[in-house]
Amino acid sequence: MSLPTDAIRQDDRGFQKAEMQIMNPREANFQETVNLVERNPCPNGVALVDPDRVGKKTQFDLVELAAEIQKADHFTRATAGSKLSVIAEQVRFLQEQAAKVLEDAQRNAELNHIACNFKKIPGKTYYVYKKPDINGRKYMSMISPEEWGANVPEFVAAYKLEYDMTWTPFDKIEQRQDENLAIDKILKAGSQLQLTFS
Amino acid sequence: MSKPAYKVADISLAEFGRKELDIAENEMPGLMYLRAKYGASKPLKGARIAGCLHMTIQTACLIETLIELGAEVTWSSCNIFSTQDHAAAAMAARGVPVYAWKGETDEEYMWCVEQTLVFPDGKPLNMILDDGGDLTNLVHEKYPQFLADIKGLSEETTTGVHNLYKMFKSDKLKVPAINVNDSVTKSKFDNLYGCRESLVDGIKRATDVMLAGKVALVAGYGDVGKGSAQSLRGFGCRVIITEVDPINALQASMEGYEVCTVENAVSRCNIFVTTTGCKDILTGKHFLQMKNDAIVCNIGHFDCEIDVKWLEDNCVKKTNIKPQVDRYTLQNGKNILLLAEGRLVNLGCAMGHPSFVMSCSFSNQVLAQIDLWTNPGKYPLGVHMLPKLLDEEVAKSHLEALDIELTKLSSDQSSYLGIPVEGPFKPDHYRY
Repeated sequence: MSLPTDAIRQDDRGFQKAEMQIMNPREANFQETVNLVERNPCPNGVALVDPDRVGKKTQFDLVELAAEIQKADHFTRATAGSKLSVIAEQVRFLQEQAAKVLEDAQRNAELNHIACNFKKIPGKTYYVYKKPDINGRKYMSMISPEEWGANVPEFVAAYKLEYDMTWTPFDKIEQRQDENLAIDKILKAGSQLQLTFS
Repeated sequence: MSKPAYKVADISLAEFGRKELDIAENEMPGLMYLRAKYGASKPLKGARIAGCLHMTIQTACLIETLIELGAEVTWSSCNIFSTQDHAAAAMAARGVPVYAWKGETDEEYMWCVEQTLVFPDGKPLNMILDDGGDLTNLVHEKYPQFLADIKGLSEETTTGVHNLYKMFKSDKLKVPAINVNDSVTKSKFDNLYGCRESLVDGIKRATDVMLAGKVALVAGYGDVGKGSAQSLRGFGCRVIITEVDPINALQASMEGYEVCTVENAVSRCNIFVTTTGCKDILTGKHFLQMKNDAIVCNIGHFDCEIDVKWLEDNCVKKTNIKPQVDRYTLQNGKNILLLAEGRLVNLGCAMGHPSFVMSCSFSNQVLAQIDLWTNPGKYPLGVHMLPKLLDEEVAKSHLEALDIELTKLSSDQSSYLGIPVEGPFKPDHYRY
């Protein structure tokens, strides 16, 4: 038999029951983070009659202190965090860039060494296929999948060989062309730029 | 599927190709003569010639001759490595559907040949110009529907001619074929005069050796052997010939060459040239008796004349001097210089046949195409030789460029000999 949730929260007299908090031993006891000043049972040479009584504290004093410390901790963490996060973001960006450079370099090296019988000409698009045999070795061809017709081998990817001898994947060719055009424009403008010193 | 108008390695090479083509035209007087003679009457009008032959500058000159004579032409190369990319680019730039580049894969090679079957207007080929038989085989096996309209085919080389005879014997040949290879002005000229120039060219480019005073062994005294021996002797070599055929052996001896066996000559020779077309001419036991740094090369058609495998297996050390030149150190401490890995030395170490000699071969091709196209029914199904008269025309077409004056028979002399004034001057079995 299952009771409605409301019924669970009420006792048999109709009073609301508080949720019972069970201590989680894995969670740090935040009261322990309160670092109190060490006691001195004999201040200025005068011994206290009952140091325990003098130093008696309620549980709530500690909780309050602990909460204050926790708040301060949070602030510190937040400020440092926000500063660090900018750096982290930059690091991540640099990491991504580094990874991309490495990836590009690897792809270029791979494409340069892929089986190919002819001399590759910058500016042309080439197509990578797999040999139909068991080894399935990849090789480079000038024939596009559309041009192959009926006997098209297994197509892998298409790349354009740029003038810096890097390879641009087929779907990025237009983007790369736009970039090249933009760079051309800048270079042209740059060559006409007159620097004057007075 | 979208068929490209052409496929070449680099179209920007077209201008360079055109410049070389201009030079080649001057060295190919046979083709230029045919252009001048038949250019106006356009005897190949209506012919759609699919060609499969090394896409070189010389072939470009052949293609433009066929076009000038009225034909439409598509082209592929008959070897995956033989295309000269600038020649292909020049042809593509002038609108010839050419599918060829240096360094095709075998699949791409077949693709290229297949692209040449249907012309830009959508109509299939009606003539074949082949070198090696791959185009011929492709059409017969995969596109038999085109065979009915094909008026004829001309075949350039020995391998392809063998294939044609084989097809004919087994009733597979469906098109009348002309064997261009065995025209006198083809095989007698490129084998003899082509090799006479390119053998020494290859040896010299590879080794820079002084030929004068050396002893050279030429194995085989056929057309290739005759040319090779003559050029080596011209440079001052003492030439020794080996032969199996008593007629050729006697010929060599009448020319003043020493004729003996490889075994008896091997220890005396500095240079070894094989021209036989047979296998195992130079083997391990010979290599061991050779002088230090003996030069060994082959100019016969196949690469089985020199036992290269023995050298590979038994050498102490193999040093690659430069591309196509290897130095094998043997156990006896002596070295052997092997050129072009035992393959054709004139192709591996030099530039093969010069334009002029290709002009002879290709003029035969042009005349074969004209004869097949303009005389349907003249050639029944089978493999034919080009008529003697056309063979003679090929030779004649080269005379003017060399300032050669031909003597004419008077009608009196003509009737005395029983030979027409215009030829043919020799019976078919004449051996030249």
